[in-house]
Amino acid sequence: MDIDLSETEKVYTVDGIHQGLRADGRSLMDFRPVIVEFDVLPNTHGSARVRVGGTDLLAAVKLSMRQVKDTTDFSNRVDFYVTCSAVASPNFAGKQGDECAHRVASMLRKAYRNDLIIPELNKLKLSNDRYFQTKVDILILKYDGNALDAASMAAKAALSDMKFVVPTMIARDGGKTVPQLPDKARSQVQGLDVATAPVIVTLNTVGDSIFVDADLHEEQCVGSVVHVGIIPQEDQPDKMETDDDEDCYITLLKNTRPQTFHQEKFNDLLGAGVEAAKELNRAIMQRIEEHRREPVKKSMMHPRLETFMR
Amino acid sequence: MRIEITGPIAHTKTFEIHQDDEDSRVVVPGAAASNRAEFMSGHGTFYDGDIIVASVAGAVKQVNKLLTVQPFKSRYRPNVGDVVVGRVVEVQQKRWRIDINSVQDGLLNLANVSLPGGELRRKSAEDEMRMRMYMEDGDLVVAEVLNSNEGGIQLQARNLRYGKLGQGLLVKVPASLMKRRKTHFHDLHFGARVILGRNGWIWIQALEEDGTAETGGYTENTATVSLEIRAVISRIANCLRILEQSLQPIYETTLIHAYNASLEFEVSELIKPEIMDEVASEVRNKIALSEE
Repeated sequence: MDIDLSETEKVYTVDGIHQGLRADGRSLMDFRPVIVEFDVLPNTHGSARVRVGGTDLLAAVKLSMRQVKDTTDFSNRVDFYVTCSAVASPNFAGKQGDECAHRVASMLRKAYRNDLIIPELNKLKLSNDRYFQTKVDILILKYDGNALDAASMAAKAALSDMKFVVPTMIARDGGKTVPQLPDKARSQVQGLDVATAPVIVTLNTVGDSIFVDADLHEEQCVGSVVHVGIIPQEDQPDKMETDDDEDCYITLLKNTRPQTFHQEKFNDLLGAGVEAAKELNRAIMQRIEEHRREPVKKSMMHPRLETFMR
Repeated sequence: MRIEITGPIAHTKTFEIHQDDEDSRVVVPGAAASNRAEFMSGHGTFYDGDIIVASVAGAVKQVNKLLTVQPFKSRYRPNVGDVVVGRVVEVQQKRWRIDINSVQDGLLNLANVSLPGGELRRKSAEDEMRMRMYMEDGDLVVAEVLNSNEGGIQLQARNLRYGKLGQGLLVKVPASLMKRRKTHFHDLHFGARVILGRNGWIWIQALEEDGTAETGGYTENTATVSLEIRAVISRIANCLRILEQSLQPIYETTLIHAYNASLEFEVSELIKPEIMDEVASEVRNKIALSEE
């Protein structure tokens, strides 16, 4: 994504980062205000809209039933597809939008590609030959830097919003099964506990300074970009208050620029990244909780219309 | 690390618009503006059978028999004498092509640029070769509109206050919010100089200590801008975004009001939606008071 910045503008930005004060007054480890909304799209099994400063994106979850020979050895992974709308940024015209989209999608796929993610996804293996394939579609409406972090938040939020019914599987000839909606399906709608869904934080460095959540201008000035994805450990309520040092697993660690790190500096970088990701996870889980506790609105249309009227 | 994740924030501060101006009606595309018999359709409208219909969202303006709709969101429309801030996209043979957020690019001719020290002489072939030493692709420049025709928008930077810009911050807002004033260069007492380009691009830089250093962009101040001045520059940038978001016209008065209203908050807090609303309504109140 190349928007021109003059040399002096870059000097100003870089000096600011070294002094710890960024263009909009943030310090190095501050995120821009993040707004997360749920259930914004009809005809999806779950959806969310995330705004990080000027970056605006939508995530939608769709379950599609698939049939295979044998599901026992099959790992049911969440699949991601990302589109960068050409309206999002003039830099997305033509193929450049695709590049950004592929990068974000491949990082998310990698972060979600292991067995520690959302153990409840096992419910989606319906029988020996049928399963629900989880697909998450992300559309970047507006781009102002830091798409990957926003996308990981959106994916987590959309999965938390997912509602599905596990059908009763009726056996047929040849080991095949056929789904059937259970009686009183409405009361058997389930959701997922996304506490173990990964969050990704992108760390940017300029010289020795490390910062998060780069906006469009800052992205032009960074030296290196490292993506750190973690899977938080299962919530242990009694540990919440006192223990700041929850364990977590690292699921994604990627250096995307041709830059090398000295071993000592890299340890600091990794430490900062993991801390930041834990904090991000705490914030998003809190928002998910907050949403769950909100009284259910009478008309389901309101949230969907309102979100796009603003 | 600080991060705040919230739900959508309802805008808490409402305000009343005083519709004193009877000819300023707001329309959306497709709204009927008038009937054909009385008026002629101007920019932003078209004939639909017997009636004149708006084709853009904006305010209806009527001049004698001509009905136009001035859009809220549009590219910058150049007027002679406007001060604009632009970015060089190409260095051509005897001129620079500059992006000024308009339908056409601006053209800054070598003949219309002053030389180091304020010399005004005819440019030679050598000067042409040295164009790139002055301004390259990606550089920011402040200039004045000389004239605009189908050929392009001619810019001039003959005065020493125009020319290449150095270290600072560029903020882009919709051009329709920039109010036309006597001067667009403002040296604000809090330590920064602001150039309110009529094309919606606003440049903020540190104020030189000796306020006389206007060199046409030939001397580059490479000293690192100090933290205090940076805070002022960032605050001004955030205030401009607040004015943009609340759709208030941007000129030195509103900027100073916004700055003063913002002083009770930290610079980094000024990007939060609730606080932006707070400051925006303060400015609105102050302006309303001063107009009474």
